[in-house]
Amino acid sequence: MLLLVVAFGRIPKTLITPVSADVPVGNLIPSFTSPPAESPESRVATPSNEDDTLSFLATATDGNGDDYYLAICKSNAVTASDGAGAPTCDGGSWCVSAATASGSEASCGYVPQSGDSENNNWYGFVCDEYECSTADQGSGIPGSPFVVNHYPAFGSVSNNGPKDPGQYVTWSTSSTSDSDSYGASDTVKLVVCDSQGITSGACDGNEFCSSSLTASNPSCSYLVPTPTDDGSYTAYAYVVDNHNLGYDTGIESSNGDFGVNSTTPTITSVSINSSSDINLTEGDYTSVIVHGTVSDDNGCSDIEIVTTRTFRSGIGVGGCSATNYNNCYKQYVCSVVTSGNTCTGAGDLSADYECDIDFSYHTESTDASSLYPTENWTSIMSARDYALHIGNTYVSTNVEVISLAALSVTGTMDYGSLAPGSTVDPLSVLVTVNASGNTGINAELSGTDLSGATGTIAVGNQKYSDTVSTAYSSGTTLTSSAVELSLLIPKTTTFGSPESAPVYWGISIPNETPAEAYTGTVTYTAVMTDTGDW
Amino acid sequence: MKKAALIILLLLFPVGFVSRAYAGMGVSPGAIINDKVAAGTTFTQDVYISRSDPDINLSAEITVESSTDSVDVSDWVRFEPGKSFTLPKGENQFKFKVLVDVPVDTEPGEYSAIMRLSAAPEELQEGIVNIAQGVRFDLMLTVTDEEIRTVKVRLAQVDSFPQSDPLKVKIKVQNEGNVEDAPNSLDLSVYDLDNNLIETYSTTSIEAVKPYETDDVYVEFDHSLDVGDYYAEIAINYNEKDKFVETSYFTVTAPLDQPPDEKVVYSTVESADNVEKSYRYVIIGGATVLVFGLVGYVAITLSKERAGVQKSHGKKKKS
Repeated sequence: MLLLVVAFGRIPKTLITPVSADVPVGNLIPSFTSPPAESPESRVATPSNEDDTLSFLATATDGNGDDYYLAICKSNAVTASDGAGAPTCDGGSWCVSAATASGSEASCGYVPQSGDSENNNWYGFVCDEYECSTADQGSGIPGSPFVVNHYPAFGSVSNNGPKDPGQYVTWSTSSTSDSDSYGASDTVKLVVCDSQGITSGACDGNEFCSSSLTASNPSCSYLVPTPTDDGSYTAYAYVVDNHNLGYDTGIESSNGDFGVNSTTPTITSVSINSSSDINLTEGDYTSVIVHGTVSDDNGCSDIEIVTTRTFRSGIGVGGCSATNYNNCYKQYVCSVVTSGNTCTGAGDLSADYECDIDFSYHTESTDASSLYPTENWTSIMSARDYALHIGNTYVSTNVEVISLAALSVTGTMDYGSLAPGSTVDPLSVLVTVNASGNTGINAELSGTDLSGATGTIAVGNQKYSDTVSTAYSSGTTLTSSAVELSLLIPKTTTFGSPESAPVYWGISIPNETPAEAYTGTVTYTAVMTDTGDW
Repeated sequence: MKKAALIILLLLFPVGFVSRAYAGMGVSPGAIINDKVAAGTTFTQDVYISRSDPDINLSAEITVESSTDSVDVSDWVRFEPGKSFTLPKGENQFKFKVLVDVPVDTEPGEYSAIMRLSAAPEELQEGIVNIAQGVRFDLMLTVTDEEIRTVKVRLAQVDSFPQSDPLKVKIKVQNEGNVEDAPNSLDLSVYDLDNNLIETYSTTSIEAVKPYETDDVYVEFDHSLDVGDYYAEIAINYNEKDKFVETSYFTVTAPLDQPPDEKVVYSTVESADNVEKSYRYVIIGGATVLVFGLVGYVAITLSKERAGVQKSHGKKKKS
């Protein structure tokens, strides 16, 4: 070989392969059978994320059957190890594979770092321990360069809560952007989740909101559903860039929590007695229902108590300070209805409530015949939630309490055993007439003959008076026609103590009246008096 | 001797009168008053008879006595169910109607009558003075030749309904005038629970109510509401200047099922070739058509290729 060099002059450098003095004679340089390529391919559209391993793959053969190394270098220069293993990239390496059998695929990986440029050239070499191939930068998309996608910057996040149900909670960020600009500037979005964890830019759990991609400081809003219970809710805020690379540590959760306010209950569709006038019951109570729909944006379960105050309009709500059964029924506790709009629990906004009020027979009337013809009856329903918020609503339509002219009779018309020709004189058999409605009354009296098996005692033999110790001769003769007795019984104001007036009776038994049992009727008819006499 | 005989007579043949006490009775209203009745119209009033202790049946009888000299007002008055009826045992309140047919030629003015209802036990107790109860409720009318239009809205609400039904607003209208009348218009706005306006409706066509009466009137609207919870803001204009406003919560529920006389069932079968076939079964009139043979019955079901009855859905089976 040396004699040939001298005979033919200098050999061009291009034909000389630089070798160390220890390169085995006959060593063949490995060559690519499959060019180096990124895996996965790294490009502007699909860059390699910071902290995600980028692999380089290639296949080569060595003519000597030696193992080879795949070196991905930062520059177009590499030096074989001279028998000492893997080669060295002169300008630094991205990665170098382990020794790989000739004909087998070699691979090595690189984890992009925050300090890396976005755009990074690479040069692939295959080397045995003595010699390296020329550089191959791959081709097409999996070829050089690889593109690094850096984490976005996530400064801080806050929200404008607490909010009411039906309002928007808005999360806002600051100092939040992405500095990557190779190919196109990266953008960022905010994603707020109800549980920890985000994958490919979407919540692992449920999403409260997410923004659109923006250059910086994304924000998003969440409509708090109605109803939603009041309190604090956990939320995790994440920022990801347009490649769904998110800031994965630190503050994504700590400032996400938001609050929901306790709202005041509202009451609608309040009615008394189904908006019909009230007709009372003689001498007794009448059930009057006040009905309303109570809604709470925190849910119907948030309602603690519902009450109603029902009163004659003229006294006003302030004048109804204690139940008196005349013009005020105060502080009746209402119950949720058992069918229809019940409270089914979380997620149910409203429930219907009913208050059952026992109106006394002497409740003041407000119709045209009454003392208060220009007034009516109204009711205010109040609902309080567990946060002590109180909502009030009056009935939509007031109603009338109708005048009730009524009487009851106590006592017995017991004349005892009388002999023919005898007379109860003075009038001493006492019957009491009671005002058992809500008006003042008089009584009309009428009667029938008293009939026996064989005899008859004419109706006129009975007399009456409203004054004690009236002589029989001075009494009013009972007739078959109704005659009004001016008792002027005033309106009752206390349930158990009706206003009343006495009626004294006497009878005269004609001579030769057969001794037998006699049957007849006396009718007491209630007559409403003028309001001035109530 | 005579005196002794008399005493003996008294002891043997006492003339005694004993009565029992009766619970009370009342009438509501205590007087029937209307100051705007038109001639030629019928004024109707509900009247309630109440008893605190309705322990027995009572026979009720109504009498009418005109207290207007020029006209016998009692001829105008009739009653439903009639002048005589039973106040039943156990019922604290009994309602009847008073109808006053004002003759068309009645001159404007005031007209009145005295009405009494007396009630006695259906069977009198023998040997006693029975106490009967009665009530008086005077009638006082003012007949006018003036047309009076006064309508009052007492209630408006939307009840929950199936999606397949129209939206229905119930209005309780009280006509205090003397001509048939109705509210002028109704406007309805429907919101979801997030206070988003969903749909609005409006109408001026509301059924009229007869004079002097209170009645429930319904207004219906076609809608496109989804199943869910809503509230309606109802505004009813009446008397040209008055407005009744109410908020009513309601739920649109799932549509009603198909008519019970025809039930359609779709069944999907996946064959060995991994191809879907669908069969349609028709059950008519709630019962299956049966064919009884000598040894039992055979149920008729849909076959694969019956023409005119079966339809295929999805991919057809490859031949």
